This record gives sequence, C-alpha cells and structure tokens, in this order.
Amino acid sequence: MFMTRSEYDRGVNTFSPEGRLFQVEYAIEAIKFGTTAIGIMTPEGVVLATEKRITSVLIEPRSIEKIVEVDAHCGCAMSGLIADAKTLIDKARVEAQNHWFTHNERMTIESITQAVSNMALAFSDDSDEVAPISRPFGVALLFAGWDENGPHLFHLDPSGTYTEYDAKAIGSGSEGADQTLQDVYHKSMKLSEACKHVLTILKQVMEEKLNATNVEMATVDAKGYRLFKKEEIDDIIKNM
Amino acid sequence: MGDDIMSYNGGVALAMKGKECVAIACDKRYGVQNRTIATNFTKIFQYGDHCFVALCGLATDVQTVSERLKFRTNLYELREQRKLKPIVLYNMLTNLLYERRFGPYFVYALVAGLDPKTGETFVYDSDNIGAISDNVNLATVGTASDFIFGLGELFFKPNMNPDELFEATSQALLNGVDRDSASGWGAIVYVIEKDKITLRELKGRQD
Amino acid sequence: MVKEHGWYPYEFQSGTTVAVAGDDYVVVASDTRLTENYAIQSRTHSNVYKMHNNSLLLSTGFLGDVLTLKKTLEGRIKTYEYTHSKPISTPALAQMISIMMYGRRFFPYYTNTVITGLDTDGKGCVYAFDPVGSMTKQLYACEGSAMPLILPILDARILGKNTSNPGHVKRTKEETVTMIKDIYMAACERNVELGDGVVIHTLTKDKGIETDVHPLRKD
Repeated sequence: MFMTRSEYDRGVNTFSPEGRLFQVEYAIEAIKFGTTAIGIMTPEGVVLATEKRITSVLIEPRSIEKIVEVDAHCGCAMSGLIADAKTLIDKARVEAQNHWFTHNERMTIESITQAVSNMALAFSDDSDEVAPISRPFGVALLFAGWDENGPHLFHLDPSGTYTEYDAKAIGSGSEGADQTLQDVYHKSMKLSEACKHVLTILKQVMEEKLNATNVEMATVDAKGYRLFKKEEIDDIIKNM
Repeated sequence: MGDDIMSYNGGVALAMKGKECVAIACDKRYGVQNRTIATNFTKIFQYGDHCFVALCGLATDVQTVSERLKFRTNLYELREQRKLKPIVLYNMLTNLLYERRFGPYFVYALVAGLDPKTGETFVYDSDNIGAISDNVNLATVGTASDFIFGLGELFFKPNMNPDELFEATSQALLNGVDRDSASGWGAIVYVIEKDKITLRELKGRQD
Repeated sequence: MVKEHGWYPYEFQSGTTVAVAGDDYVVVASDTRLTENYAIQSRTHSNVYKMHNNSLLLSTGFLGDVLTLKKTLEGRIKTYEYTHSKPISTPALAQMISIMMYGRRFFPYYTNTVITGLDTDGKGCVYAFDPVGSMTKQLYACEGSAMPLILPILDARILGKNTSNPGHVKRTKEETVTMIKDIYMAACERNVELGDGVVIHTLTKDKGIETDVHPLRKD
C-alpha cells in the first residue's frame, strides 16, 4: 500500500524532507481499519454509538467496550487500537477528577479533550526519556459531554489535533457515515431522533447485521452520561 | 485558653455609664476549661446601696476577694459611720489586690456605682494587682472582653437613659459571650439609679 | 551561654479585614495600618488585593506569605484562563486556594485569608480559610487582629442575633458600607493595631469595583 517507504520511517518523531511525520500519518491511517463510531450533538444532548466486531461466537460481547464514561458529564467513544485508548481514557479521567478536586467544578469537554491531546504527541522511542508510549497512539476518540455551555462533541486524532463537530464518524465506515450525517443532520434535532439516526447509519456501514449485542450506545445530556441497556437498544432497533 | 489561670473557669463582666445611672452585667457560667459545671454563677457583688463590684478570673479567688472586700467595707461603714462611695470602694479593692503584689489573686475587677449624695456616676476597672483606672464610660473584663469591647464601643452613646443603658449593656454582653466558649449561659444586668436598682436576668444562648 | 531558640520564620504584620456578601454585591474592607510588634510600618497599606478575575483577596498575617500567596494565585488565575479559555469563577478559585494551602500543610502560609467575589449567578460570595486551607462559605467574614471586636458586631447586625426578631437582615450596598465604616470606627478605639484609615470596596456586576476611603484615628 505504501510504496514510498524511506529512512524517515525509522525514527517515530523525525520529519521527512517534505515535512511529514510518517509514523503519525500511518497512525491516522490505522484508524480507518477500526470499527465505526458515530457521534451526533443535538440541543438536548449528545449521542455516541459504536459497532462491536464479534468475530467469534465464543466471544463474550460484554467484554468489548468501546464507549466509556470519563466523568459524570462526559463520555468517550473510540476507534482503532482499543488498548491504546485505555491509556488516553485513564488520562482523561484523572484530569477530570483533578479539575473537580482543585476547582470544585466540572471540567469543560474542550479542556478534557485538550488534556488528552497533550499526550498524543508525547511519544518517544528514546529509552532515556520518560514517555507514556514509544509510538503514536493508534486510536481516534469522540468526546461527548454536557458542561456549563451545554452539549459538546469533540473529535481527537492520533496527531493530537482536536476539532468540535455537530456530528462525526470515525473508523472503517466513517467516509460513508460522514456523508449520511451531512444529509440527515439539522440543528434542532431531538436526542431521540439522533439515537435513531446513529443506529440507522451504523446499520448501513456495518458488515454484520446490526443487533442489540453488536452495537453500543450512550447519551450525555444535562443529567449526565448514560450507557444504553441492551433492551433499550432493542426498542430503538424495532422502531427503525 | 489553654493553661492560662485567668481563663480556667471562664466568665465575663461589663459596666457602662448612662445619664445619672450606671449598668453592670455579667454572665452566669462557671466551668473548668471546656467543661461547664454550673450555669448560675454570678460574678457581681453589692457593697452598700449604690456600689457594685464584678470579679472575673479564677472562681476561688472571685469568692475570696469578694468576701474579704465585704469584710473590709463592713468594717469601714462601722468605723466611719458613713455610706460607702464608689471611689472609696474602688480604692479599697485595688489596695486589697496590691497587698498580694507578688502572689496575686487571679481576678480582674470592675467597680460601678453612684455617689450616694451627688448621684455622680462611676465606672472603674482594675487588673489583678490593683492598677487603678480613670473613671471611664465603658469597661469590660473576663474571657469575652475582647468580643464585648467592639460592641460596647459601638453601642455606647453619651447620656443614655436607664432603658437605653440596659439595652446597650445587654446587647453588648449577649452578642459578645456568644462568640466565647468560656462564658455565657445567660446573664444578669443591674441598672443602678439614685432611687432604684433594677436587676434583670437574661436568658441568652444556652450552649 | 545563650539559650538556643527554635527557628521561627514568621512575622506578624496584622491588619483587619471584613467581607460581607449581598444578593448582588460584596462589600469588603481593610484598615490601612501595617504594624510589626508595636511599630507602625505603614499607614497606607490595604490588605485587599484585586485579582485578575475580579475576585477580591483579603489576606492578613505574615506579609511575606500574604504577598507570596497573592503572586502565586495571580499566576494560577492566568494559567487557568489560558488552559480553559474562560476566567476562573470565584468558587473555583476558592477551592483552588484551599488545595494550594493544604499543599503546604507542614510549612503553612501564615495568613488569614478570605476570597470574595460574585458567583456565576452574580450573587455575592465569601469564602474564608484558615492557614492550612480549611474552607468555609460564609455570609460574612472578619479576619485579623481586631477580629474579636468586630465579629460579634457582625453577628448582631447581619444575623440579628439576640433581638426579638432574629434572622438575616438584608441591606443595600450603601447601608453595608455605612455599617462597616461605623464598625471600623468603633474597633479602632480599642485595638492598637487597627487605625489610620479604612478602604471599602464594593463589587457589583454592573459597576465592577468601587472604592471608598475613610480616615481613622492615627494614634
């Protein structure tokens, strides 16, 4: 696939003469192999949904977890190398709690994303340096939350770049999903409507047939983060 | 507080001057450091018709000094065949205290009263070794005295009538003792006028 | 032989501060006398410090620690603004001060600190700290050398203590300023460390900080 390998691929943090950081770019490419995750922000709250690839009937589906709680008011969906995400989520959780501890207020979603993004380029393959990881993180994250300014949805990629979106998809089905999101999104969408949309779009881009066990869904509204139960997802699927 | 003997038992007193009247008030707590033993321990003693003394500090010395002062004032009135005046009482008290200059009683004192003939008002205070003060408008001694001074200074107005004087004294005392854990549990207030002495008991916070 | 004394790195320059929270204002005050033992070091030093986020810091005690605390806070306030792209609210700042002070649990800032401002609803708020960061949200606060003289006055005037009708007495900001002025005039009669003048700042959402200065006795 990448036919133009060069010696600049060796060091993880060495610029090529064209001004590129290959390893970071490859990490961004790696996301495109990940499972699809979608987020939609509405005035009532934000919804996150992900697909789970159940590659064997012997897998316990509950053990695959791609949407997690960061704080009571913030959730995160991930795509890519899930093991890498764990480090970043840990960081997000510690930062959110630390902010609450020192300021007695909820950390804004942007600040949480910012704190995590600071870690994205903190990799190093130099054994003398104390870095959390020796290569770029191979994961993209969607941070959804409700803070003092209402609902927010942030996308963070392996380069540490983060952007706020009304709606965003990441992972293998992201290209098609993003296109559909552009078509269906409108500013006054109900949260329940958004929940239906994310599942519909997931259904379109997933290879397997969508059901309540191979997707995850969570919302964050003024009341906080809530992960949907299997039965609740089932109800939405029936009404699609 | 801590090891200070002056605040071992707690308690506070206040005296204020009005127009042809004086008020003297104290709290009712008797305790041992943080433990309250009794809530009816008054620290004001009457000597003669218009003369009062308040003693604050170590309770045993409060009682001893008050009794010895009674002894001496009785003897004075018998020997001299005349009424005790506040200035005389004050001199006898400070003299009594100074006799123990190098092994002092642990009490601070207030003297409040009227001259039995002229009706002139007197308020004095003293430390535990009998330092004499001027005839002042306002004086307070005891564990809550700092708390009371600010209030007293704010509530005091020259030439208050007996009712105003009572109100100012009570307010200063009650609000002051509420911020002190070593005094409180109600209060008594004497308002001394030429032809009338009024004693009022105040309830206050019971904690 | 000279007796060896313990190392004592603190001084005490005193000062007296008062803060009163209202529904839509806070009034804070400080006398302007700075003392060391019985010497007067300054007749014009106020213990109120205006912070960058419109909070007012009142701090008395060891001036070295007061100024260090103030400077550290100014840095932390800016850092917060840069990190979170918004001014730090007074309640958030209060919590941060508490944590900062507790961080020096075994070598404390020798200060009596109060932080005041308007909360996110524009309501006045007052937070008081002990030197090691214990924090309480209060309706009013008084710290410093004349605290024993002033605090029971505030109890009586603001909470209506020992009256036939106890309860929170609401005042306009002008009435509060007058009250504080009277209280300082009373307190300076009986505390040698309080005097020279009193500065009174009124903080409101519309007008920001307005400042009043009144002379006090100078002896």
